[in-house]
Amino acid sequence: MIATWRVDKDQQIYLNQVKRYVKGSLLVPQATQNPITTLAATAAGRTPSIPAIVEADASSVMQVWSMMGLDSSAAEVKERFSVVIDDVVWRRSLMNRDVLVQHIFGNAQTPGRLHQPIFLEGQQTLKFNFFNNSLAGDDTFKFALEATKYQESSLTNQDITAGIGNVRAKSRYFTPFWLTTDAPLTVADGGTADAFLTVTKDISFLGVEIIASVISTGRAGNTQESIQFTLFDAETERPLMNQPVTLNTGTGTVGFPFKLPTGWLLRPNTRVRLTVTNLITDAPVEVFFTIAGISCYAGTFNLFDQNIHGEQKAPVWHGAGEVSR
Amino acid sequence: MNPRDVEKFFRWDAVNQRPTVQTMRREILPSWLYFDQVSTTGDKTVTGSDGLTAPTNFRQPYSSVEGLDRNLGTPFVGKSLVFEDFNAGVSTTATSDVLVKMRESGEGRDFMENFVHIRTLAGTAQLPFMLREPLIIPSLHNIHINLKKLSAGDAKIRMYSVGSQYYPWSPALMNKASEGEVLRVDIKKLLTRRRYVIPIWLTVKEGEYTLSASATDTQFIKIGDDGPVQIFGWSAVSTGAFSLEIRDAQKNQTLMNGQINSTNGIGNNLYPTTLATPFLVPGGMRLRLTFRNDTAAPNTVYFTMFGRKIYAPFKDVKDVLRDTTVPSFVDQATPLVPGPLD
Repeated sequence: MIATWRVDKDQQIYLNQVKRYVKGSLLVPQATQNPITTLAATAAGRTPSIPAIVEADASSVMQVWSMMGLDSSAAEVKERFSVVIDDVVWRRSLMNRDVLVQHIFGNAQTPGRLHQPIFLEGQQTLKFNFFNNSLAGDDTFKFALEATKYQESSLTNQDITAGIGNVRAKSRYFTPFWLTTDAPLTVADGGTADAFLTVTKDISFLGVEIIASVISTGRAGNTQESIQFTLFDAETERPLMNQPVTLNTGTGTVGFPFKLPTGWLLRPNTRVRLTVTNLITDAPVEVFFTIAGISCYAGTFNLFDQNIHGEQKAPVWHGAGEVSR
Repeated sequence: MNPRDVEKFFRWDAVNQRPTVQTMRREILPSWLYFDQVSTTGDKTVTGSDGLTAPTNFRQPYSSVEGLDRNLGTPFVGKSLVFEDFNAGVSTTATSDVLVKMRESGEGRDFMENFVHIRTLAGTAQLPFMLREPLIIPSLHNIHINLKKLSAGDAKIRMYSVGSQYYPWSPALMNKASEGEVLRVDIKKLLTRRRYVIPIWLTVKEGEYTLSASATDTQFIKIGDDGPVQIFGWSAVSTGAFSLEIRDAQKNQTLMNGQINSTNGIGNNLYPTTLATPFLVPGGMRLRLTFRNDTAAPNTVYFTMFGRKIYAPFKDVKDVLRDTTVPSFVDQATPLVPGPLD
């Protein structure tokens, strides 16, 4: 977006001073929430954490590109640890319900990349509500967000403000989004079950990659493949595969997700059907299935939203990598 | 996905002053194409020790609504190959020793002359083997697939082509004439392209090659006379380390000033070696491969080059300049042959 160097009228290369005010950055919650400890679930229900707040620097604007986490809890605890992320200013949740933390947060080597950066104005916040769904123990979790930071002193530059204006306009509508099953899914041993992933009325959703994991104590049957599944397109019920696909050939992890060969576009108020067969024959399987992608806020049509005083031009956005004059 | 790519899927609705879905994009769905259910249901059992395994196939079915497809059907465009191998509840994907041979049934075109090792052909869901030329399968077309296993013991195989499925006949496009036309034009370009360009894999001999201990030997890969090949890279599976040098046999031009080692110069299915510039080899030409076994034991090597086969002749530069007004290093689309998809 910001040229590192330029060529002057004498064909001499010079470094762009403005570049010094744009830098990589890491955002972490405040010290009392880093790490954040969430108590074990009880028979009465799961336990939410106190909200972890991440705030953008007051003297800059930021774009968040990826999320990294470190969960030092026992395996049976962290494999059920989930989160809901809210963009506080826009009152938007970035998922349809809580999603497994290990489907969103990667690590320093393979971070969980966002397909649409989150744009934060100065002091704008993201809220993270964590849920410990395990009875086995407390969860201790640290995380950081990787971001681009535009210092306040750079915001007087025409190139930067024009570019940020485009990014800002786009971020009104587009955010990263994680679509998971409407309710937790457990499939009986050797059985088949349907689950739905519902796109709410206020957004369109573009699916980009699939991340999934399973939990089972079974030892009989096909423990290697665990499950096979079929996805049916929303609205049309078209199957995306001519035969069921197994976990290892259709899903990935947050660091190495299964990238869909083309974006899967879903309209507001539609739902995808997921049919899962448990290939393990002596125990049920819990299935955590997430489609990561981008949401586009459609809003609701309201006659009074229209600008009746004159034609309103469409905002022109060029994405994060271009500058518009 | 690049943040800019999202804009291919949405357009600005000036009336409601917000982005809205491009209907056409709803009619291109991500898709997995597995073996045809008539020949294979569920896992494909491959008999051990070169035993006879019934062939299978990829088959793209036909679907439409009252002729709305305009004879385009529902084509599938495969962009990658993914596989899984397991036996007795244990994953053997990383050590799979199955060989694959694929052929277009209707056109009679082979994607490989010899059997190719599956670990130089297909990847995993997390690291798929990306095809440098898409595998375009129109409706009612078959890709015939033979599998054979080298070692004893059966294997259970799943192999998918992962790509996009097109629905040009969708009733949703009836009220979106312009978007429907864009989709149909794209499909026609793909179907035309497929007549001239297909993915291809090149190997030596019958696919495997065993070198004696510490031996050096020469093998040849011959490009068919029916058209040139553009090689994008290579991958290999072997029982031990080996070195390799590749030359154009006719002109004695070399791709390297010395031998490359299997450790630092030859990748595998998950991380293949990709050439900085694809290597265009005319039809009828031979490549000379000089192998050296770097171990003190017999070494079985499965070396595969991958790329695209182009059923089109070379034209002299002056003829090209006469036909086109602006010569370019980038492939230009013509009425018959669309531009590259990558």
